[in-house]
Amino acid sequence: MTRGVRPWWLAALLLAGCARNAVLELEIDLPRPAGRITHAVVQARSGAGFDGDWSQVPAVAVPLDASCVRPEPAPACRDRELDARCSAVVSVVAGEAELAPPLSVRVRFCADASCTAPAAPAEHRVAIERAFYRGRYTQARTCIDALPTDPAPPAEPIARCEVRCRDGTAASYCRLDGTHFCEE
Amino acid sequence: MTLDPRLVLTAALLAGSALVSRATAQTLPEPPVDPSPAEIARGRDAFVEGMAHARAERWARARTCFTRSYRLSGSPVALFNLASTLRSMGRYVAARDAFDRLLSNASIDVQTQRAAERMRAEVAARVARLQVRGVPPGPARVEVDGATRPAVRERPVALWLDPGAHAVAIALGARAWRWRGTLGEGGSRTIDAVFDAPEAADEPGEGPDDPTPWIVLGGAAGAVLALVIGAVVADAEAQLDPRSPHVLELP
Repeated sequence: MTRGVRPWWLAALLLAGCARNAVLELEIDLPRPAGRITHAVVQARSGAGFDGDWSQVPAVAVPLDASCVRPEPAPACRDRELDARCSAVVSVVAGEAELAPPLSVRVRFCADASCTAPAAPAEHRVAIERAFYRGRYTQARTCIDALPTDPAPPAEPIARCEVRCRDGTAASYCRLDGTHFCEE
Repeated sequence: MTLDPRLVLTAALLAGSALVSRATAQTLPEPPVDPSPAEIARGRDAFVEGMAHARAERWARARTCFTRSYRLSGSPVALFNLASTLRSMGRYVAARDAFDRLLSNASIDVQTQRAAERMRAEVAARVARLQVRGVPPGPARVEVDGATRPAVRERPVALWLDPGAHAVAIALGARAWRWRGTLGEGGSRTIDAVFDAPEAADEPGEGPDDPTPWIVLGGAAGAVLALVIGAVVADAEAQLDPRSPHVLELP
C-alpha cells in the first residue's frame, strides 16, 4: 500500500506552492480628459517591441477623470502619492514564457473604451527591461502628466532595478551583486 | 509633556456650570442626551478625581476618570480634559479625534475653542500616516495592534496612527497581508501590500494538515489522498491573481 502511493507523495510535494505566473502592477498617472479624449487604453506585450501589428494585442481601457487635480509643480513621478482620480493600476499577468523578455506597454488616448477611432494619433510608450519574476507581484510606475502629441514617441525606459517588489521605497531594487530583490 | 495647568484650572472653574448647562447640548454618541442629576453629580466627582490624577501626571487614571465624567455628563469640559490627557499620553490620534468632537460643539466658549484648536493642530502634526497600496477591491478588514476597525473600501487604504511600533493586518476573504513596523512623529509611509495565497496551516482544524479526521479513518491512503488534494488546491491558489480591476493577460 505504502509503496503504491509513494509517487502521489512526490507529486504532491512537487505541486505544492509552485506559482508559474507573475503579475506586474503598472501604476499609471494619467492626465485629465480633454476634448473627445475620455479614455486611456493600455496594451502590453512581451518581447516583440513596439513595431508591428498591435491589433491582436489585448487592451484595457481606463476612463480619465475630469476631477483629477495635481499639485503644481507635480512631484517627481516616483515620489508621488497616487490619487485614485488621476491614476490607475493595471495588472499585467505573465505566464512562464513571458517572464524574462522586455515588456512593451502602449497607452493610447481615445474617445471611447474600445478605441476604434483614436481621438489623437499619439501615444505614450514604456519599455520595461524586466517586469516579471515567477511567483511574484512587481510594481512599476509611469506618469503621463499631459496628453502626448507624438504618434511614435521614444519609449520611456524602466530599468530592471527600478521595478519594485517589496515594501517601501529604495533607490534601487537590486542587490549589490546586481541580482534583483525578486530573484531568490 | 504635561497637561496645561492653566487650561486645567480653567476647566475646573468651568466645570460646575458646564456639567449642568452644556450637557444637553452634546450631540456625540457616547454621552447621555439628558443626564440625570445623579449622573451629573457622579460625572463631577469623576472630573475632580481626574484633575487630581492629571496634576500628579497619572495619565492613565486621569484618562479613565475624564472618560467616565464625559460619558456620565456629556460635558465639553470633561471632553477637553480627556483630549488633553490623551495628548499627554502620546495618544495623538485619539486626542485629535476628541478635539474634533469638541470643536464640533458650537456652544464652547472662545477661550476653550482657541485652546482646543491650538492643541488639535499640535497633535494632528504628530499623527503618522500609513498608506497601504495594492489592497484588492472590496471591504477590507483592518486590524491595528490587535483592534479591529470598520471595513475599509477606499483605496489606497490610509491609516492614521500614533507614532511608534504597530502591527497591521488587512484581510479580504481568505487572503491577508500583515505588516509590523515603526512610524515616526508626523511621518508618512507608503507600503505596497502583497497578499499571498492563504496557507493551509493558518486555518486551524481545516484542510489536510489537520490530522484528526485521518486518525479516525486510520488509513495511510486517506492521508495521502488528502495531501494530494491539498497540493492541487495549493497549486491553484499559488497562481497569482490580479489585484486591480484593470487586467491584461499577456498573449
